Amino acid sequence: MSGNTGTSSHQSKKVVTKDDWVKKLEDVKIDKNDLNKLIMNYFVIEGYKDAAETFSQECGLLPSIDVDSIQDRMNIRNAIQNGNVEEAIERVNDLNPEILDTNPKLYFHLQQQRLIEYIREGKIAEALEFAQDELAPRGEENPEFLEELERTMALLAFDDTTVSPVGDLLHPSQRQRTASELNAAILTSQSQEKDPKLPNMLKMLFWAQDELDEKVLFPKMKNLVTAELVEGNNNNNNTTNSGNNFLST
Amino acid sequence: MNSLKHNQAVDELNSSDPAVRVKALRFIKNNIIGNKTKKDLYIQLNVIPKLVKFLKSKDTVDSQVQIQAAIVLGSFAYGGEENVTEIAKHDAIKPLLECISLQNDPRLIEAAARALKAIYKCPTADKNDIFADHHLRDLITLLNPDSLHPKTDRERIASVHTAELAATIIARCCDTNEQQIQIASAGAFPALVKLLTCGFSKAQEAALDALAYLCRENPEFGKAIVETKSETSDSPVKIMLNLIQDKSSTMRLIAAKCLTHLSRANAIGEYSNDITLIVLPTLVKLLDEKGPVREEAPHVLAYLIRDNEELQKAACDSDAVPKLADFVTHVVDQESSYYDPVGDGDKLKENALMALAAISSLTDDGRKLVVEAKIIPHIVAAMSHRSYGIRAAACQCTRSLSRSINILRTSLVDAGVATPLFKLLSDESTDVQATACATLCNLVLDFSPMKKTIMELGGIEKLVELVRSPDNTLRLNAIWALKNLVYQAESDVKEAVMKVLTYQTMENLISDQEIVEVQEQALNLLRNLACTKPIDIEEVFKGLSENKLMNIIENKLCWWNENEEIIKQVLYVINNIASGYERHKTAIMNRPTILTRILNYMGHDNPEIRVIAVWVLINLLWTEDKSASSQVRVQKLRDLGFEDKVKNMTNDENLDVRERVKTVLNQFSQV
Repeated sequence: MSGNTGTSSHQSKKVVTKDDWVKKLEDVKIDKNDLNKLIMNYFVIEGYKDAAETFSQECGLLPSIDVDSIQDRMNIRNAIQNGNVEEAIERVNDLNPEILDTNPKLYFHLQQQRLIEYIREGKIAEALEFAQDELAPRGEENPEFLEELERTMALLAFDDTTVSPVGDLLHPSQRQRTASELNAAILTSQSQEKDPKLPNMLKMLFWAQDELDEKVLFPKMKNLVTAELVEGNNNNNNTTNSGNNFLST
Repeated sequence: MNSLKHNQAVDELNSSDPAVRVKALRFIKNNIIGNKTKKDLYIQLNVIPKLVKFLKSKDTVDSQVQIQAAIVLGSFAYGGEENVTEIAKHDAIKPLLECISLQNDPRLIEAAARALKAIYKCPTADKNDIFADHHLRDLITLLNPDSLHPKTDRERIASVHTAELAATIIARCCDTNEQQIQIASAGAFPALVKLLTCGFSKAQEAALDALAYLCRENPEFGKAIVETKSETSDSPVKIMLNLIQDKSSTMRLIAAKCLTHLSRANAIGEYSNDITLIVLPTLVKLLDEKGPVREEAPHVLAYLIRDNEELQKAACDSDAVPKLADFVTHVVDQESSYYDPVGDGDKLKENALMALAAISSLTDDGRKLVVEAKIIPHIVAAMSHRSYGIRAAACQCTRSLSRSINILRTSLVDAGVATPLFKLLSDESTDVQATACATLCNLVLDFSPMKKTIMELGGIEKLVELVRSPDNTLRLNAIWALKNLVYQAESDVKEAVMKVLTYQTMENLISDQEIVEVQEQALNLLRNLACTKPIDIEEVFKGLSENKLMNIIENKLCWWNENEEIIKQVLYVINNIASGYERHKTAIMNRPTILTRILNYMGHDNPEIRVIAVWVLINLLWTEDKSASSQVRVQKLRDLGFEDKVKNMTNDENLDVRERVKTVLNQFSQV
């Protein structure tokens, strides 16, 4: 194919005006109840207990799960994010003692997090004892854990952890990772989905806009907070980025 | 390890203060969950009897103590087989079963059910207790979440979870037909079908699993499940066909498994198209998943298509073979699983080999695809794998492939299959030995280029050793292989086999006390020995003596023997003898009982038996010359009523019989 195919196809793009587009959008019938369910699903899975309760009263929709269990999950998440792994373990065992007995990888990650917290607090003797008593046997049972264990132990080799190649383990994102893994396991055990539906649907929206953009000029949604329709050509990278920004907040 | 605090916790269990006990139990619980080392430590500290005591003393013990005790027991059970044995040894199962009775605290019921689930997960756990007293009825009651009268949302979710646990326990307790019957008659079907639509995926999965095991190899229960009325307007099969499209891959797998079991139980009826169009493609797609789902999918697939040519063809048309071939060639990443902490790549490889064996068992299309996937060297290598399941599965694969003469002569020879297969005849697992033997059956036929190799490796000696095994399958497959070895073989091969086997052993096998199939194969061996050349018949006469040979035949043809396969084999033996020298024919003519039986079998319901009986007559009537003895023979047969009998058979419904009858009448008319 010759190089000018792109421009010629660009010139032949069909154009849809904003008015026509809005009209078309209005023709699509969407059940309000479905939209409410979508939002409730987001609140429940992401753990916005108060929002779920208020929303439930407003639209008369029952959450798919009892709201107390959202609180349970949030307490567990908070415990890990505050560095209190032991409390998180006790809470999850109260909630469902099967979770950690049937999920060795998750259990290892929680113990690893405990080790990280000891090191963070400078409790070196405790850290060494804990690694030997609790983590080493897990490594023996499951060789795939050994590498991660060694990486964690490497934290002890550096006085200044900020220059350590394994310094990321002390970063808040490590706690978040552990907390999310635990949260997902709890949700699975409660017959809940691990991920809310809404972010995926928004990803699909941007994907569909990009696909359509190849053939048609139409007003696009670029900012999800305002949901404003913007006319004119724009490049695809921007739209994708704005989508990701929304998802990570 | 510093065990002071652990010793202290155990001591505190003896406290009279319930609060101290609960605290100690919670401490133990939080230590042992997920931690095999600590489980072992506390078992050594002899905690189990104390827990059992708490569970047994219903009225005097605080319910929190009992709940925590049940949870601790459940966690011990997750530590593996030896822990479950330990729990059973201390008689903990019975008190746990008492705890699931409806008058107890729902939280205690849930904790006990969870412990029972963990215990019954272990394949060696003793399942008798659950079938005693009212326990099965209690369990079925729990399948209905409303039985626990939940009031709050939290209680409602807990009661669904208890129902899920009850369904899982049921799924793990139907190993035998007897157990299936007991569970079904306690009313499991309506309760499980109702649970299918409860809206909680984990409970729905458990219900599907239980239904799958209740109808496994059981057409009656398959039909009963399909006909169970559900609360919605949809039939159970329709509900399952919805669940098989669920977002969760675990749900899709278990729904496919349940539908597979129903299909194998011939219960699927009007939905049989959906098996080909939905269930099979779903299973193939699940091969792209990860972890336990991917691991089990080939296993279900193999079971679905086994013995079913149409489904095997459908599997060939999907892209199942390349995907399965990938699992066999690549060492797969070790996904740790939620359900099975010890799950690993071995199981996947084994299941993939089983599925490949199934796909290539009946059709050449399937075999061709396996060859094209270039995995035969990997299959052959897998026959020496450390896991016996993989060795057996690889052997099964080779067996399917060896059914194609073309592949047998080319790819299998190139891959050097004979030596590793021969090694498996001495495998430590009887299952592997039996499969190896069955595979060998195809490799020792006369057209096989590997026949010579196997004999040089000492195949005859090894097979004769196995023919003496107390294991029925092994004995059967070994005699089968020996029979194939002498099929259309040269006289020296026959001689070599009988030198090692001995006629005496063959005689013993012909009257095997355990299974009639061994008798059939041993008679078939005798038939093959006495085949083709009169000199071979002469050998048999020498080996057994004429008298013994005729006695064996006479015994097998006694009037009460109604096994058609045995009758066929004996008639073939007679037929082969009748085709021999004059003196061989005379040996039969000297036995009036045998002749009468042959005459009777000419009127047998089975046309194949009629044909062979007429063939015997053709051979007996056959004369090289017009000697006096042959004249006498014809006259004798005429006197016994053979000619009249045959005249009545000219209108036999079977073409083959009619043609042979024409020959006989022609023979009679020439004398």
